[in-house]
Amino acid sequence: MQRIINALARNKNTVLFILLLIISLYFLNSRSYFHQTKIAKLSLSISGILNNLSSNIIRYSNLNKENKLLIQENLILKSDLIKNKNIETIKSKKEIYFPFSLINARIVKNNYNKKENFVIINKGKKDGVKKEMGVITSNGIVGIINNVSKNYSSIISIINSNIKINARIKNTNYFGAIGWSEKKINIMTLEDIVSTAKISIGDTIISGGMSSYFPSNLEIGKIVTLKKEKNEGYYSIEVELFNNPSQWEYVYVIKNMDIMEINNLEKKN
Amino acid sequence: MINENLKIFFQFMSLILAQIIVLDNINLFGFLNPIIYILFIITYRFDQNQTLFIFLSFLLGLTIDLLTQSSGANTISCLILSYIRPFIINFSFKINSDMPKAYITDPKISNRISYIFSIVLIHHLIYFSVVYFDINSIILIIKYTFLTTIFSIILIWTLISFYKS
Repeated sequence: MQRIINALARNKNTVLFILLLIISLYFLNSRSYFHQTKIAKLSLSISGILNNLSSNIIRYSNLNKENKLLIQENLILKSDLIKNKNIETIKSKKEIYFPFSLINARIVKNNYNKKENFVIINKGKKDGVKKEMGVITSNGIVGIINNVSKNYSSIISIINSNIKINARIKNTNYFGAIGWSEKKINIMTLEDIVSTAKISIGDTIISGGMSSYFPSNLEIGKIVTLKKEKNEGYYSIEVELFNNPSQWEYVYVIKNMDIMEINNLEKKN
Repeated sequence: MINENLKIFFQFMSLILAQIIVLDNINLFGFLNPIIYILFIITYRFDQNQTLFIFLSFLLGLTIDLLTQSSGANTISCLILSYIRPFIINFSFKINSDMPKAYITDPKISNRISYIFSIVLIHHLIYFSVVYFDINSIILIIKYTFLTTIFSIILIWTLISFYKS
């Protein structure tokens, strides 16, 4: 306290000056309407800048939390969306049955420059991830889980030459198998589409739903080239993915609740 | 000491009266009103109490503002000027403001011109800036500042010479 008083006494001229300046500004403010509006405008813009700055800082520190909330919300919306799409296709059926649920995950490592690419995510056995579950992003397919540890799982990415996924051309009944072209990171090839099919460039490819990994009607990509091979009854089709594999970050693991039942049936055959 | 204070008081009152009664009614070319009450700030002794000086300058500006019904420009400009006067003295005379007996009439003429010119210019600049208080009026502020500065300096110089003789 003594030191504060000493400092004030040493700078008494400055203190007096600032005090009187404040008084005179107040005087100016109260006497002239013109200056009043000008000062009000000035103080508003300064406080606006300061508030914006502080809110930006606060928002930045809350970003992580917000992100998590958004992912949670996305998860719910995404599962609803898939459910809805399935409802649309089976409108005629009275009973709606949807055996899939989602687990959200973040990619820890993403290979995309090899022939056999793998993705590692931060969810594992602990979170209910199991082998042979499908993995999707908000706008496409990522791959199938092939290995699970306690906290992490590895995925055979769709840009891996060992994987083929059942696919269908939207609004038609032509089913095929989609696999990586091995040429470009986001170009896939679609096989087994007969050359009599009426399709054209730009058509959307969706998941076929004829496997236990993925529900049907998930969008995968669109046709970019379409060629009829000579002496063969099939098209050779190149498909561009909607989601570039190098940009995957948040993914969803699809849990098929009926997988045990399906597997048991398969074994019996 | 009492004599000194009486002199300051007398100067204070006469400058205010001269400013209000005579100079604010000049309206040279329709808009120029020379300001001479800053003669008080110019001639206040360098070795006197600074704190009192700041307070007296504030009072001077306030009185002028109240009597001329202006908003507060005189108060602010006088106050700022009184606070920065030691720096102006240092700049103009290359001396410390604590040095005794360095009175305005003693040093070289170039130093005196530089001192008076800086004080008048800074005062007028602050005064017109506060009066117009708008970045778009900057040309107007500079124009008024320079024109009024010229007339104020002529008047102040005449008065100082008169006072000295």
